[in-house]
Amino acid sequence: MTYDAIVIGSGISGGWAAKELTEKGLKVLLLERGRNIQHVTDYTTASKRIWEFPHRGRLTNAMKANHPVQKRDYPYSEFNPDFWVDDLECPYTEVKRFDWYRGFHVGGKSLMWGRQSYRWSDFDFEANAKDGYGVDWPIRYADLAPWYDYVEAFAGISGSLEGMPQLPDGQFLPPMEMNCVEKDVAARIKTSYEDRRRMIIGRVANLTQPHNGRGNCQYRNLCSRGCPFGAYFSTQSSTLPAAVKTGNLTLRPFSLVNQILYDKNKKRARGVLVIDAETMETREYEAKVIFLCASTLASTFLLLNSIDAGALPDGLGNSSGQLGHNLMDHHFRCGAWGKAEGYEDQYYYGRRPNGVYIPRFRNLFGDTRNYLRGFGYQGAAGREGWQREIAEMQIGGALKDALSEPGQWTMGLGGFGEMLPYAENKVYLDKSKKDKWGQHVLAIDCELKENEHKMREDMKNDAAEMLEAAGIKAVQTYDSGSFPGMAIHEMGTARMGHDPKTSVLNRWNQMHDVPNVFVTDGSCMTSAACQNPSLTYMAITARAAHFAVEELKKGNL
Amino acid sequence: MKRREAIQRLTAVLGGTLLGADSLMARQIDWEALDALSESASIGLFSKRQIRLLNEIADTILPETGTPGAKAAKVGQFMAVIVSDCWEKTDQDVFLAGLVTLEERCKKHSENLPALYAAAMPCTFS
Ligand SMILES: Cc1cc2nc3c(=O)[nH]c(=O)nc-3n(C[C@H](O)[C@H](O)[C@H](O)COP(=O)(O)OP(=O)(O)OC[C@H]3O[C@@H](n4cnc5c(N)ncnc54)[C@H](O)[C@@H]3O)c2cc1C
Ligand code: SF4
Repeated sequence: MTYDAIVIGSGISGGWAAKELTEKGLKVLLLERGRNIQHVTDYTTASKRIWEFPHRGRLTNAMKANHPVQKRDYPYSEFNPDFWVDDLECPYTEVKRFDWYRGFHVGGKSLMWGRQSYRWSDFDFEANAKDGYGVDWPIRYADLAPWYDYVEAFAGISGSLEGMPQLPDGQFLPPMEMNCVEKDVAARIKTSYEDRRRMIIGRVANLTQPHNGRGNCQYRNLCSRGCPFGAYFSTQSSTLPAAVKTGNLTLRPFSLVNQILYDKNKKRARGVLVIDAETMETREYEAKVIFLCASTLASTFLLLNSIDAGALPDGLGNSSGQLGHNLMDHHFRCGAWGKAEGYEDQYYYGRRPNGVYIPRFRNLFGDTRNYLRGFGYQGAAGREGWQREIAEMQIGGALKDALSEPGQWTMGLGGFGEMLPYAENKVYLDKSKKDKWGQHVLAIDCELKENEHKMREDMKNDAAEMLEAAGIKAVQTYDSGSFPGMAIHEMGTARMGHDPKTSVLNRWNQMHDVPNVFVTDGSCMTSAACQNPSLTYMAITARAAHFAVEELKKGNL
Repeated sequence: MKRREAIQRLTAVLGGTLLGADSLMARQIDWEALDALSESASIGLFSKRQIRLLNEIADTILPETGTPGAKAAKVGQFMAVIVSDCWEKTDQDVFLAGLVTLEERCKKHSENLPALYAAAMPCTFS
């Protein structure tokens, strides 16, 4: 079968590619290795109460046994177990510990993501050029700004306009509200630091009003089970219906793309080799242009694995030798928290699926530290629940009645830090093992280094200092340790750059070596910034799709 | 006297905190009825008898007040599920051994402290 375009992967970036390409009139085949998940009807746990889960969300020993990786952190739970891979079926080699969280199904991680959505700024796009780590980004904020506008307006991002150069404003729906403690802390941080630091409400892909036929958020904070109201951005709620509406989309679940087929003479990809994930049968599909959106490491694996009979010994589009290198993630899980005294007569509405955010302030506007780049904070204030301890009451009715009331207000901040691009943080094919589908596996060799460790000291201490300045009591710092992969913001292994000798993709996410292949997921990222990256994947994908269609029309692909 | 007040009074008699065996005794557990229950596994690693005991312990910690207590909420059954399905083997062993110790201590106390309980509980609980 021949199509105009093949999109590989149906997560955040693949959904956008499918939408843009079909809306431009292309006949698109969207290939997804996992099963289909129908919007709303297949969110089987979305409306269950906590007591309807036999283990109240906890992992059983049976679940842990076949999820040795997914079990390492909170996202995999009894609340949405079907959204996560069986680690035993798709092993990888951890040269150093790397937590690889994955879900194989239509929608990819767009169903489970945390929805925090921040623009990057020129402080980010210029960072490599300024301090010499990695290579220069071939784009600047101005290249992406109209595409941020475009994707935000469609996806529906709620947030406040702040006018901060390091975190550009966007096309926002009305912001969610801070609670009483957050409001006071925000006001005190603003005055204590003379507005050099600011705490704002999180910018989040949850609808604060009806939008494009989707319902507004009901403040349930159960998003990672799928939303019955379509109130947060996912492939299912947003990009997929738009693509289907064009009549130009063919969606094929259980289609594991094993290789991109390469035509040596034309120096073009001619199609893909697909393994039916259920029957193991193989099949080829052809297209004029291919969008690779299988998520950072899966896309990189696919390129490394596309080894066409000796012609491409190092993988597709890898004449630079950079494919698989410069792996980055964010480092997090450190910060501070404390108690807010008073406010006992105040509460908040519902369960807001969002927190507060403190944009980066380090190594900006004249501040210089003993490390490069910076970090932002996510946080929240809330009242302690029934699992808290009550001094001097271990048992009895008085304890039970006390626990039935909301507890003490607490406020916490957790940093998200930038990780530098290091060539030696890399992935490569490990041919000593095979997965369930007979594919070799990925080896991952990645670690945090000195710059990140120094930054973590500030991430803890600055949080404590700000909370104290804001009147929070009994402030404690914490560092729960962060391994690469845990932030689920892995990126950089097929980076964009000006020079085909030192980068895999050009400024349009087009492979330098293979012009009809576009890679628009996190693997394209040239640096990691400290903001959550998915909004940038959306903008970059939409931009690349429009470019690809123009190039197709001109006959350049 | 309401049950809650009785437990509070008992707390005072026993000196501050009311824990483990002492507080369990305040429930006047019918050990004979408990012993009559089957020892064979009912939920995971736990027999009906152990589950009943867990319910007594749970209801001691979270008794009926204006709202139903832990026993009514079947917290014993819930504990059996969680410990059997989710806990590591070593932790399960500690838990099961602790249950035996607790029971032994309760029975011992009930022989030694009848006067104290009589003072603490002028009325009987059901
Ligand atoms: C718990 C959690 C919280 C997060 N919070 C945030 C946040 O707050 N903000 C933020 O910006 N980001 C967040 N992220 C990260 C975000 O989910 C990812 O950045 C984003 O989903 C990446 O999009 P993608 O399209 O590259 O990959 P995915 O969304 O993972 O989609 C990739 C798809 O490709 C499919 N696929 C893979 N290999 C193949 C193959 N060979 N053939 C066919 N199909 C294939 C997969 O099955 C999958 O469906 C979070 C992630 C998680 C899990
Ligand atoms: S909190 Fe809002 S977006 Fe999330 S699942 Fe509930 S209604 Fe949907």
